[in-house]
Amino acid sequence: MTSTNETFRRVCSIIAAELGCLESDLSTTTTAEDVDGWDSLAHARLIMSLEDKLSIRFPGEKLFDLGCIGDLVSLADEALAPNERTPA
Amino acid sequence: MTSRRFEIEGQPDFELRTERKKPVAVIAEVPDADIADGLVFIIPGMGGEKDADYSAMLRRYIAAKYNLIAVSVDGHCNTCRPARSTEFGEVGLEIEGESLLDAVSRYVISGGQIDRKLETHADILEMLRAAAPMQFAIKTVLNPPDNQYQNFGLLSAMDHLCALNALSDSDLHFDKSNVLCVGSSHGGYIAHMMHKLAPNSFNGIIDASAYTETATAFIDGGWKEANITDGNLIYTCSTQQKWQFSNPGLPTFFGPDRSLIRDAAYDIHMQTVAAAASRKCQFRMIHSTNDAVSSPDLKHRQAEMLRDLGFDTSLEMVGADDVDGKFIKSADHGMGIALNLLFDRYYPTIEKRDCVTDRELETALTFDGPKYSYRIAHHSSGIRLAATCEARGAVSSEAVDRIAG
Repeated sequence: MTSTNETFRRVCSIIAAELGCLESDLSTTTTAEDVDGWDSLAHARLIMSLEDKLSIRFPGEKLFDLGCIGDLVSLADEALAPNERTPA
Repeated sequence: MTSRRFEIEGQPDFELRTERKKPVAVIAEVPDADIADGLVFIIPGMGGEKDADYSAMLRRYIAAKYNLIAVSVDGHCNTCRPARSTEFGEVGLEIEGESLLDAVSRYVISGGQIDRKLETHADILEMLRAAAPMQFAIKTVLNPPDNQYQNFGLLSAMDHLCALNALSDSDLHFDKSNVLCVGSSHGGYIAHMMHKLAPNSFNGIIDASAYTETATAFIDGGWKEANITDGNLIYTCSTQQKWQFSNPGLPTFFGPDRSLIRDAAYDIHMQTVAAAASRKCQFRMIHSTNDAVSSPDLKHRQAEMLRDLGFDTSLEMVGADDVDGKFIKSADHGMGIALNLLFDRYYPTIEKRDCVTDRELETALTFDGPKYSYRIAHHSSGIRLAATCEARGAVSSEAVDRIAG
């Protein structure tokens, strides 16, 4: 399993828990407009929850530029990479 | 990037002559650069922008993208609506007993049975809930934390100025010539009030749907400030008040003087502001032609007045045809414009200009009304402003004529 697939699964699990939707309804192309209740306040709650549960911190300037779940996964992967790097 | 939380002394209520009970909390998101390009106060309106997660995200976004210290201040009566999550305490809901009795009367008259012991308000509300879909309007006082009340803007603006003084004195380094405010609705109004009281301290004010003067529904206790719906129960709300409209002999009387000092577009006062401004603030405003809360006509008048006084001012008026679902989501008050997009749109249009701050200049302003003179003075040291409201020797006939007109 690639890191992106694993990250996708974890991100979708958190989105489903926060927004009360089904994980199976989510894909990398799903946008906020596709999910009931994913408004700007829910988005803020979701970002904080992702950061908390994945122990990452998204870059501040990108926080509002996340068009779809694929964007979230890519950013999460970038943020996870240093955390998960194995020491030589 | 780091988050810093401060507590500062708030401005005493110099009109009602009361000290503040609790310090004022200030949260600053500080970018990584050694010196930030400036500082921006993010001032939410009464709605969801006060949400703790949203506020934190907004500060981080602006700090990172623009290298500005992004600041939220728990100014006086900042928390006066229930919210999902708050950074600064919670509002209490106090149901008006008589209104609850009225609702029970309606319930009984319509054939409802009293089928339980009614010992508490909660018992009554539960019974009324069970009568859905019949609806009940219940008058409710919104009690801000720490026994605060709706001062309407003036104290909140001064608290923000105290915060600016405290941050300027702190170990944070920022370009003091580039201090800005961004806010929508009541937040935008407070931004304009901050500029009125400190004309040299701000390089830019960005507002969406900011009113220009006191919104009467917020201070008359008339239960028209906000409706909170809970199923078939509709709480018609007013924030806790100290103002009254019947006895002009008391300091709590909300007469013309109280109104004029809170008017960010009163031309006589704004002439004083313009004369005191060694560098003129830049105003970027957007407003809906359909706004039912904040008069579009008054907004036009404010923009024209600011331009006439030499301020670099733009006012974008939008209507239903301009709703794009992205930046402008509706043509109603607030227009559904997110504060991050509002800042993105207008901050790049604001030029950096050098200034000498109000503290350095020790700016002193006098704002006359028909009965009282308000004096606001900035000092080079100390956090609080010197503020007084004293009776004038004689009533100004010019001021009276203006108000009558």
